[in-house]
Amino acid sequence: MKIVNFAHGEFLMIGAYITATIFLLTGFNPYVIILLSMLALVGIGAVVERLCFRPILGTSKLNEIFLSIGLIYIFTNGAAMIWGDEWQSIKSPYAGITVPIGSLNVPLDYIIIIITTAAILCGLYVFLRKTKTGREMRATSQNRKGAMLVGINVERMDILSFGIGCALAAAAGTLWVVSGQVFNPYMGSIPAVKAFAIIILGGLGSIPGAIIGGLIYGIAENGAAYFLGGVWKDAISFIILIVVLVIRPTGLFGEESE
Amino acid sequence: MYDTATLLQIVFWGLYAGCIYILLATGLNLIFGL
Repeated sequence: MKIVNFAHGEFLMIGAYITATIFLLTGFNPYVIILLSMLALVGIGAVVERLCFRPILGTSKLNEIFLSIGLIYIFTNGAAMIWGDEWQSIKSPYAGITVPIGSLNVPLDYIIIIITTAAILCGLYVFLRKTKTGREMRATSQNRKGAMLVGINVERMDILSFGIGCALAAAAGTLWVVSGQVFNPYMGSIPAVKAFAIIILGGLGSIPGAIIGGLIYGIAENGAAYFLGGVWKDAISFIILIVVLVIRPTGLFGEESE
Repeated sequence: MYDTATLLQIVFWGLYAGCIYILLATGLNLIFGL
């Protein structure tokens, strides 16, 4: 699709709020609610793709950028209207439980988050590589006209790609809230900018690049906060990005475009 | 010098933070195109 969606962080925020709301209403385990949150965001993503991005597909990139900036305001204001704009947090059922690993006491939630992420990525890999729909999605992404010629419904694939992309943002939002971090309707912008930096660092369109980039950023931020001070936490990500792009302009796993 | 436990903690906490970024960036990649 090659859609530049700056409102991606807002899907994380909506996923976080959906999980928190269901958790507070029902008391279900938030790691189970992640599925509901992802499902809801598939639907929201499909509607956004169909109503907003589809009509401007193939026009100027500026249209996509300004449309997504408009969506940021719509989603943040809508969320503030529904849930209020104060900082909130929820307490995971496993909060306070730690697992000794060597000399470390690691919070159980962190371990579950790492396992959950690995499971989601494995599921995505199997879906994209082993299923007919997944292969059709990749074909559409790599060569749209070719995919149309072999009978793939590319518009259906666009909706699916957008929906699954939003579902992954919802999963990130859910993991954000269950780890005990605070959230409000304006929380999405910084993670979205960092996600853009990560995909540029890893190479546009590369999932292994996104995984390696995400790990580099996570570890670098924590290292910078500890060794240099909290003010460097956000800056270090972009310092790494600039250094990598100077050395390798296509990113770590990117390929030269023709 | 920093002890091993501190460095391990930075790596482990970084892995956890990285997980959220990975999911967000992978979703963004799907929308942008594989």
